[in-house]
Amino acid sequence: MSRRRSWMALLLAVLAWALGCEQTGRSHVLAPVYAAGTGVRDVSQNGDTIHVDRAQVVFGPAYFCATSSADRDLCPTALAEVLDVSEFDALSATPTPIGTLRGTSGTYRSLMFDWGISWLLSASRPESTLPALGGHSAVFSGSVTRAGRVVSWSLSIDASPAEAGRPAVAGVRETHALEPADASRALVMTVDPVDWISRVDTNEIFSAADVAGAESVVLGPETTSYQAVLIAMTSSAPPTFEWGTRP
Amino acid sequence: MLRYKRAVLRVRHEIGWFLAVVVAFSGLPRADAQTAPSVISAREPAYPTDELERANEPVVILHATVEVDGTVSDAHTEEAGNPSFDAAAVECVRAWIFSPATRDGRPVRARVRVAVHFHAPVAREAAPTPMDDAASHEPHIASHPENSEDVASDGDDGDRFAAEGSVDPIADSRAARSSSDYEIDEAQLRATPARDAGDVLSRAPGVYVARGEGDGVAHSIFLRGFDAEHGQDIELSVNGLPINQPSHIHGQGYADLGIIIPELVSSVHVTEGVYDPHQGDFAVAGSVDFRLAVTDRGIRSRSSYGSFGTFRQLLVFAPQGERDGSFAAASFRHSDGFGSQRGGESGTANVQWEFGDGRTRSRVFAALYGARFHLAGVLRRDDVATGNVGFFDAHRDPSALLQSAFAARAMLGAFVDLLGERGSFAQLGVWAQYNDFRLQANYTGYTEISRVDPSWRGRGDLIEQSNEAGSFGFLARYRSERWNPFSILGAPLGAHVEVGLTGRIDLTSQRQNLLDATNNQTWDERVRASIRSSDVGAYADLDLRLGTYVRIRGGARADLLYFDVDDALGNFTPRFRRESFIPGYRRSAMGLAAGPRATLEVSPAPWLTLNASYGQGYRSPQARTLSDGETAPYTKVHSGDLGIRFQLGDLLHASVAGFYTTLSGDVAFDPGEGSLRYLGPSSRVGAALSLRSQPVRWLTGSLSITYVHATLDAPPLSSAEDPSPPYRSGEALPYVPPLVLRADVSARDRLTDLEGSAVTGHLGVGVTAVSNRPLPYGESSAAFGLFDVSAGIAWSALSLDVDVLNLTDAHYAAMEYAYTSNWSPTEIPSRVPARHFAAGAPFSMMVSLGVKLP
Repeated sequence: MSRRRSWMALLLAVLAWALGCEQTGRSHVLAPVYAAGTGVRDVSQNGDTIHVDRAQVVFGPAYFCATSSADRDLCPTALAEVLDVSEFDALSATPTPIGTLRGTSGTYRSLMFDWGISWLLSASRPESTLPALGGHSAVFSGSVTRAGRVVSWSLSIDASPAEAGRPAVAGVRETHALEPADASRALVMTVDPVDWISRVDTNEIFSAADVAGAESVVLGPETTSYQAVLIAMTSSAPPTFEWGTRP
Repeated sequence: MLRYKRAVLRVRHEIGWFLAVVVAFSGLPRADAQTAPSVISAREPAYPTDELERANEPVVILHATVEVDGTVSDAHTEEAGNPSFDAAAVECVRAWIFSPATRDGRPVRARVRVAVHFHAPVAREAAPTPMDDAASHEPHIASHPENSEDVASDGDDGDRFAAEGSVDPIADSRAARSSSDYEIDEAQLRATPARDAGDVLSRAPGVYVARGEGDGVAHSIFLRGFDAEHGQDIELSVNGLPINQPSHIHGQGYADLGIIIPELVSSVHVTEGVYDPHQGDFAVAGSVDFRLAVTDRGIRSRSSYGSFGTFRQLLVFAPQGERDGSFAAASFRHSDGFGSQRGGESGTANVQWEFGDGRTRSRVFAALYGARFHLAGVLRRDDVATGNVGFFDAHRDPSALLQSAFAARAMLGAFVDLLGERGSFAQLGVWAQYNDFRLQANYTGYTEISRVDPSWRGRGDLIEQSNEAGSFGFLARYRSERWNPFSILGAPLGAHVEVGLTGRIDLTSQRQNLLDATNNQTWDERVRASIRSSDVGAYADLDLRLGTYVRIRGGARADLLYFDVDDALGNFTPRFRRESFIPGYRRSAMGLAAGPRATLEVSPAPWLTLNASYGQGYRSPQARTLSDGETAPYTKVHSGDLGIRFQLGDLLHASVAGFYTTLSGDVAFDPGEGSLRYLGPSSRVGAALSLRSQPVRWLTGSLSITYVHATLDAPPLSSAEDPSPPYRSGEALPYVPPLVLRADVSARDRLTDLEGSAVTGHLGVGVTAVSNRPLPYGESSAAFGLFDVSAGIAWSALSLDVDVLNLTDAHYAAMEYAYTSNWSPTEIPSRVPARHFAAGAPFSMMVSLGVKLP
């Protein structure tokens, strides 16, 4: 009886090999994604001190592409993606879970993503995909101190894509050979909101305060400070991504 | 009818068509030089007068003993049939005179198995057969020595003689070369239900046929590790007329088998591999020729009704007294389709007339086909899993609801066969075709952006493809008389040389657009081209026999292909750019595809044949992919095959083959464009087993199992989208099932007599099993098995049949893909590939009522 079972086992093994070993060379990868800040809240600029009290940011969706220049046209099919759209505290150095990366093995060389506002192909305008921050991509607030004078400021960034189907941030160079072993690791995105805020024009803040006769100003899209932070978020100071152990 | 009754009672035996003499009586092979008996004088059998009214045309198989003086001392039927025909056949054959069999030059007694074919005494006077006069006997007699044969030891019954092949030289030239040549006969074809010619083709070993895109689009065919898509890797023909369409918008070599009425298919010749110089363009995985004939003569009507509101009406007119190849038939089919979005109608007409006898035979074939069906399209697996859409449904989207396919085709061909002396012949043929095709399909949902104006987007990826083509072609071939220059070690050397010329011109106009389903507006233009292409092929084929045991066949083939492309959208300028030139790109290309093909066949015994085959084939390119002056754009295939064939009478036909194939450039379906994309070089290694048995007269069975390991041999081409595509050595080719199994069992016999007429019944079961299919991006589709059952009863002029397909109601994916799509345009789109599938047909039943008039 045992001999018969052995033969059956051998037969089944051969069948399993014959039928199950045909693979096209890729594997599924599923890994958690975290976001973290640097933990820094102050920065000096031309003798002024900028303090950041709040930096809430919405991230997603994100697409990891094999091309060196991720874009709508060059990345019709992504290697991996994070479809979750999540808000996180960008001032906290402690990683916050923001979603799950799903994809297949292979080397991604660039990525593209939105800061919570996407322009779908079928939509007539960009729309927020997470209403948590009043539909904004990021909300910052803090103060700036100059010679003992303290002026509070607030800034609500809308990082909208320029065209339908295009991401807000495209072509971010990050190379990593995604493999099944990454499933036991985590992808950590690190942002530096203080670096972004350091691009504000403190003179503009004080001038606005003087004009308003108040010690608190709101930096709107018409201000150079708003545009500077927007450019930093979408172009000059994008987040970095690093694979590591799960927090 | 009066004319028929007044006809002189003459019959034709036409051994040439039916002397497929096989046998299994001989012993072990010997080195003796032997020759088989051959007919010197064969008088015609008398047609039984008591059968005149019914005018049947049976074939009676007899065993006859040929004495050393060439006379027939004994003849008896192989099995009892109609007593009148049996007696007439025995009486006839006993009067035949043979040239006796010899061994070492001495005449010996031998037994031979012959077939006598009775033709009803109709207006054949106007169409004399080869046996009408003494002179016309010569080709028949002279061709006998071509048969392989074996003479057994002396005994009381005399030496037993076995012969293979046919005295018809044209049929002989088509005889199986490798162990991967299969002739699917009528018994196998009728064993289980066949909705269409695709189901007929699925009887061939290693073939999986799916119709994932609905009844209006050509079948998808898989053969021995090749995803032949709609025909790109298989040369398909019907009665010698090519079906494949070069540079078709929906796939290279597109071949819609809807033009064939399945009930007319009398046999299917399947060559798996490229070993025959006759094989031309698209013969990469192999070639398939559907041969049409109606053996059951008379007027036949068959009305079928069944599941999903399916109705089918078939009318066949096969006039008594004419050849089996003369018929007219038409069919109409309407179906609401299973699930949603699969309804439609189709109509087909096939007409053929064979005429002429003796040394000249002619055939005219015409076919018409039209079909329009809705398409359900493909579904995302995750949408089905979450209940967004049902397994047999279509996406509830305006663009998905407008999916449809239309096809129309007309074929006309005329062929003349000129039979010469000693196995020689010439064949001439011309043909013309018209094809029209239009498809609306959305594979990807909402991912496309207009290239004309990029601000136009999100209107749905409803692709509109149209392809209109006129094709004209010819063939000419000549086989020489048998040449017997000398003997080698006592074994006579015999040889034929065949040379042939084929040619075709295709004039194709094709377009591809994106449609806004809601407003029926065109919102992007992707292809607008006209293509003129031609293919002139020439081959030489040597058929060399060394004695009884060895046969070498082979030669070379070369095809010169020419393409002239007027691509109206070449160098396209988007609207937002300033025009600095007139769009359009006209180009021409030309190239030569040439290669050898050869087969070594050794038959140490009549029941055993060993084959070794090698050949090179090619597939022409989609013309629009060519650049100006490109010289060698042809996909080259190298194919090798080693195999064994056993043949033990009707008890067992078996073949085992191992094969290895390499392809210089493989392609696969690209859902984004609805066409094919380049993958890279690939190879396949595998084995096939085929068994066929008729242990008793009323029972037939067949089984085939094919396993193949198909791999991609190099990384896919780099592109801006993926500079170094991931590749693992030995990774599997996508979509190709490694294991395909097919089994059919059929019982058919007389049950009883009622009112003086026989009541016959039949029962058939067919099983198809397809293993897991690897898909791109590490995905895999599930294995499945299907059971089909057919049962029926016939009495007098009436017949009643019940056909059940997918008896177990298996929910399976006829086709499965992995790619990116977005069917939720208001949600964040996924760009990671997902599994998509086209559902296979569920349980369905058809009841058919047939009426047959003489």
